[in-house]
Amino acid sequence: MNNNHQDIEKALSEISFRTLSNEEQARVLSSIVAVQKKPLLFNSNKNFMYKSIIIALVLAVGLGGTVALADNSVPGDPLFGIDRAVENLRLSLASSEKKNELRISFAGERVKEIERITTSSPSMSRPAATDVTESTVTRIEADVFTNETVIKIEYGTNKKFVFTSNAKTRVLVVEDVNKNFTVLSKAFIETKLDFKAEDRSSRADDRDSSSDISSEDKIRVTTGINAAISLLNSVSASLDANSSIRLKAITDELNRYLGTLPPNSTVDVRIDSDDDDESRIDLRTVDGRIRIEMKDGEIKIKTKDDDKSSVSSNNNGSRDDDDDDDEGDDDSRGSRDDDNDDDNGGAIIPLPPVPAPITTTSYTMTDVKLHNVQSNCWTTVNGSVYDVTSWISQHPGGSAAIASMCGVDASSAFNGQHGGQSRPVSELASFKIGVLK
Amino acid sequence: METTLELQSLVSSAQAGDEESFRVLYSMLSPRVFRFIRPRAKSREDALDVLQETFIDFWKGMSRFSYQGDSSLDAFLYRIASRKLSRVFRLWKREVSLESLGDVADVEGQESDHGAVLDVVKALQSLKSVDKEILILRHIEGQSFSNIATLLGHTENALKVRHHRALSRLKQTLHYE
Repeated sequence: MNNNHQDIEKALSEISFRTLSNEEQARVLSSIVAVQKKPLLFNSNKNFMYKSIIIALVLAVGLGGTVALADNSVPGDPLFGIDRAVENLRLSLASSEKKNELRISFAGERVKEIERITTSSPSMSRPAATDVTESTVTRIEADVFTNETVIKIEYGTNKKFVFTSNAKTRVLVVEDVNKNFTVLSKAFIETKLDFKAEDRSSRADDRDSSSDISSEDKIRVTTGINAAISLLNSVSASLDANSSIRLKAITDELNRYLGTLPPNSTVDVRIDSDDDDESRIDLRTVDGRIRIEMKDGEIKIKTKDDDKSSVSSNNNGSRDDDDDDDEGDDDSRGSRDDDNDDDNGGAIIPLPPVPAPITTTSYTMTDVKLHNVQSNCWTTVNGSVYDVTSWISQHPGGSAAIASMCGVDASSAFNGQHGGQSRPVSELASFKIGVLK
Repeated sequence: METTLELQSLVSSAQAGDEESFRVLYSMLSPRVFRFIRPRAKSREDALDVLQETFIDFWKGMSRFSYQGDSSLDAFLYRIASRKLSRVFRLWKREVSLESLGDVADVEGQESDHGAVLDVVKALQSLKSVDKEILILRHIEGQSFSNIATLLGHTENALKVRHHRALSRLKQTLHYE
């Protein structure tokens, strides 16, 4: 064998490739910019030709467009859930360096919302005048703190309305309540009033802010958003790999946001696109409806309480056991009317099984560390806990890679090896057992 | 050659989300990154794809990058590029067609034979990735043995042995013997 390699070394050193031409450089840059821009395309959508992408965008645009509106909503308003979902959506669409910035601004908004609730602004949902009468009010409580007076009116079955006032004395409180609820006579208020003076400033929990979120509203928005998730899920099937990864991420974010949903909730998703200028998504739940409309670049979100009996009979009438989401989502309808009684064509999509383990089970790192052997192997990736015991022997990249992650956080290993790949992400998702506390 | 200061300030403003800085960075760095990618890719189109993916990831991953001199920037980019390369490598066919080598530059000099150079490129691409990497680093990028050894995590002597064997295998592929 000839060990003198001079000839081949010379041949090798003669290899050179044409350098990157200006044209090639520009071409690649434009593709890079196109990819970067995608999540930011909230206004113009002329580049999006496929219906599925338009649908995805309508949702993104729709939700994005509500930010201004929903930003002003506080827990208790029907839009509040959307507000939260929008944030998650924006967060997952944002490039990573924007994420922290967004998180910070979202956190700021959260704080402002809490402030808004606790200061009892007019935006707080007032009970309907017919709900508060002398026959329904069970108790009026006034706590005089050093900075303000918190007045709670309990009425109906476990309903409560809380507001603050500057009244410092019993007489003034009675007057104030009477001014707010003229149907309650001063004498009546006097009999129900529980007047207490506290020698301190009021705190948020003094105002019972949590009880202000009506469970109905909570259900309505969460159900609606769950519908959005199933929509996103079905849209992603027809997208390219990159977009589906992004959609998957959004879906997961939304899933994480969702609280527990009442079992047997159904939701009706329909998409009307008469032409490219107007698209509409209805998220219809047993409790009401959220409509996202996009017309001529303008986005409207409407919530509406539907007549419950009409909706539920509608459900029964057209209920379809086929839970193929695509079918319902692609339901293109020419009708623009708002009347839901003739909506028999819309598929009622049984909610995808509520991802209970995702939202309800949480583990600490100590829990995870207990499962640190190959025969019982848990690991965490990006804040979620996975039981990957059965996957060790199946991992295409060899069992050792997984086995070494038992009982420890595998985020950096996973992201480094599989970040941005759809297959590993979806495989991993199938092993999810909960989230990290 | 751009100054360190320039690059550093471009990086930090791009990290802050300034797109224009990113464009300037791209125009400065892409030729270099492409030079890195091209010999490792099967065709020019593949190489351009990898270049694109690399800079997309670079843009996304920028917030995690801390500037410690120009070489750290290069290393960051090369690391992304190699990851992208190894990812697509699995999808590529081992065989390289002659048409995909249209961009192999014709070397000036009377004695060199362009056809022979193309054969070498073809043979090189069919080698095992470690062999290929060593030969690219050594001969196409002209790096020193000690550099390559550090890069690949070998001792210099072990690397020289591997290099020698890689050359032998290349020769075998070319049927020089």
